[in-house]
Amino acid sequence: MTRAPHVVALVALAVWLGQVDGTSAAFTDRAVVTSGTHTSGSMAAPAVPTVTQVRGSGATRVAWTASAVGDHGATATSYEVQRYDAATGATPTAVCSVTADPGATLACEDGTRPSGTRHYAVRARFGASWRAESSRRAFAADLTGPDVTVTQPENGYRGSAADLRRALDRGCGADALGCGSAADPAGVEAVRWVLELRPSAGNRALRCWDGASFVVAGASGCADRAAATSAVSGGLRWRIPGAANEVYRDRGTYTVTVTARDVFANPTTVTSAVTVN
Amino acid sequence: MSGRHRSAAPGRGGGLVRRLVPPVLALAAAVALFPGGGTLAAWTDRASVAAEGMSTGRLDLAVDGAGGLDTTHARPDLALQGMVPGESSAATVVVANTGDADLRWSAGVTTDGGLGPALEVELWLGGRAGPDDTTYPRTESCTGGVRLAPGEAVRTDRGASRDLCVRVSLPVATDDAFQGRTTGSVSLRLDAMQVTTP
Repeated sequence: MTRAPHVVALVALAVWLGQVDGTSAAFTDRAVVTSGTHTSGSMAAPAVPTVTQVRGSGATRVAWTASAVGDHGATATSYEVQRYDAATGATPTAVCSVTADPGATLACEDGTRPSGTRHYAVRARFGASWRAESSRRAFAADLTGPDVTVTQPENGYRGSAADLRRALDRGCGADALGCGSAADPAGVEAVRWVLELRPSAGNRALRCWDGASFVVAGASGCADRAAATSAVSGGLRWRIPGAANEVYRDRGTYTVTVTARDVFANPTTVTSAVTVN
Repeated sequence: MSGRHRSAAPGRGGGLVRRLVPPVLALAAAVALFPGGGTLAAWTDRASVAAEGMSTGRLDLAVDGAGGLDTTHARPDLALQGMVPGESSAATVVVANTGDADLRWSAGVTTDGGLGPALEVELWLGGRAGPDDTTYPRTESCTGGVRLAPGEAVRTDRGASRDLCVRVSLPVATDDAFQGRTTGSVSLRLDAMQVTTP
């Protein structure tokens, strides 16, 4: 019994030796295939983007040209616009991204209308990880509304209806409820007005001039109306058409609210209140 | 008489046996000790057969017809310049057993140079490379065959050959750090060993 393990081991060794190739005695050969030199292309940094402000919405529009990848005509497959608070360094905020499909417009808008100077850069991408970023373009959006004045009715007037109408005639010409000016370096897009009356006697509910008569204001106040405008040097003259003798008649406080917007939708609102007693 | 006779007969026969026993034993011992007989006196002869022109065979794994022991074969068409992620090249190499014995071979791939770590290599046994792609992005591939794992043994008997399609690609996920690399190479090593068992 004590010999059994040795016998088993010898048998196993013999079996193993019998199965294994005589590799120590086998011939060998080796062939090596070499490829030559592989090189990789690189991404060109995109050109500095152009940054403008969109008329109407006032959003900041960033546009750029396609960025080359390698030397064989490939271009970036996608782009991201980054906004920085400084010309160098700083942590970017991703504004938008564009996939460069054929015919795609390489531009996007930053609708946040941030104040102060911002710095925009375009980051081009190719594949999953390759990227190259342009230099930054500084841009300060126009966030200032037009300068607006009210010639008549002159704010703070207290007096008779007749004197008020004469002042309107002198300042605005016949058949005007009010007039003034609006000016903006970028241009004034529109002027709108609201005329309200708060009677000092009887029913003192707030009333709105609807173009024909004063009506009690609704829950949301009075709807604004477009003023007539005409271009003058440096801006517009605005005018509220109407028969003054029909409007400025009852006692109370008349308030003209004028809102002018520039081409980038920046508003300026002024009011002029007069009291007829 | 009879008494003598009775006693004389056994006494005469037993003496003969006793006399013969020693020489017989001596002869038997001599035969046992010298079973070859009298060789010292036998005639002898010897004949020799000479084998002429014997030589060893050779094991030869040839690539694209280029054989020889431990050879290196260049396939510059496997290389691509200015690769961008997603591009690839492919080529078919013909691995042939042009030696005198059946063999098994296995393939090992190494990539070197600055671009080497980013290159991905596939081997397709029995596959064929498609036509050269000259439009960008360049994407060449292998058609047919089975993917060959690193170190996987392939038996190729004497006189037989196998197609091996080699595809080198720069994956789409290649890291940004591999832009603009000017060195990169792929080396395919085929190690063959004689088959010593059926």
